[in-house]
Amino acid sequence: MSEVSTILLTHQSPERVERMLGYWDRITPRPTVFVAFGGSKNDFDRISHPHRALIDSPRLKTRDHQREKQSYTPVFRAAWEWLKSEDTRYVHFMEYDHIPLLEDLHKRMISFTADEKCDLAGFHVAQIDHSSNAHYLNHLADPSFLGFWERISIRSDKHVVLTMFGSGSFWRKEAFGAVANLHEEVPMYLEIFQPTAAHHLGFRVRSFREQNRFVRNLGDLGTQLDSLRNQGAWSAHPVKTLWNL
Amino acid sequence: MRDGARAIRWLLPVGKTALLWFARTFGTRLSDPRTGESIGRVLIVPWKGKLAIFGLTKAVRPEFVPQTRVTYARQDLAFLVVPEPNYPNVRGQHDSSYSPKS
Repeated sequence: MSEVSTILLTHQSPERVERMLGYWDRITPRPTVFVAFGGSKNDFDRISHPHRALIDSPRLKTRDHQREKQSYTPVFRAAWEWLKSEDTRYVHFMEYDHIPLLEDLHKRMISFTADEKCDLAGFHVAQIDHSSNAHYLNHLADPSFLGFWERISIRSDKHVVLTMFGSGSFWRKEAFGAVANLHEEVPMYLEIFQPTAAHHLGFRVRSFREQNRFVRNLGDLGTQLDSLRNQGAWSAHPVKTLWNL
Repeated sequence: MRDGARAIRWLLPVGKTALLWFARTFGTRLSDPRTGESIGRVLIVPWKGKLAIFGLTKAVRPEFVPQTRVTYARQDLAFLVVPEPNYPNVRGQHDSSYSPKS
């Protein structure tokens, strides 16, 4: 049994995917890695890694991710088809440009999850209902948004809304499966849907607080990896060019 | 007419940038009264019976500050930085009214 299964989301060329997998060999055995591929069918066919799926969904392939409410539900669904029969306890989801910096990354994440007794740990997790959060206000303009949570929530306060950075997250398998299989009746941006769905399905969601500063939405941290590691970073985002040939 | 539309399309982002620069440089300085955490400078303008806020860079919750006096004469509206959720796992049990601890 492997404790952690890792899902890597990428759209890059097969050569870059192979580089990425080679790097991840330091972190986790390759048979425990699943590649969710959002690129072309031609490139997908040239990837040799056996555990992979082509994600050809307009909900993933958005241009303005926030305004078009990009969704990772097709990614999670495809990964779950592979994961459900895997004998694993945790699921680690990472975008291709979110880079692990420590070989014992999974050990640390498991330890954090155990200490926090949480089912989902992510970056920049916050409770944003009744706040000025731009995504929350945008979703609130859709009259069906809160109704969806009222229908599926097992909690008493059904209007709690959470946000979480989308580039990397660490799940207990049960929580991942429950969210992957939840039908997203109302289109939502992934940073709201994933943590809020986990919360309303009864799971405990926490933030990697001390690690938040190493996970950003803009820029490229590729030249600072050693420095970030020395500052205590477990991982870094975004690093766009590490797999370039 | 077409030139006018083009000028407006060009001016709008410039005007937005200038407004945000002004708000974040000369606006009212806000901080979370519970933690003292700085929220930044914003411009608050009455607008159609509401308050328009320009220049926020993070999510905040508006909340009236508790007061010892019983009066509507003056009341303070504060802004709180949104908390990290801290709810327990309630799978297999009914939830009671948990509130987040920041």
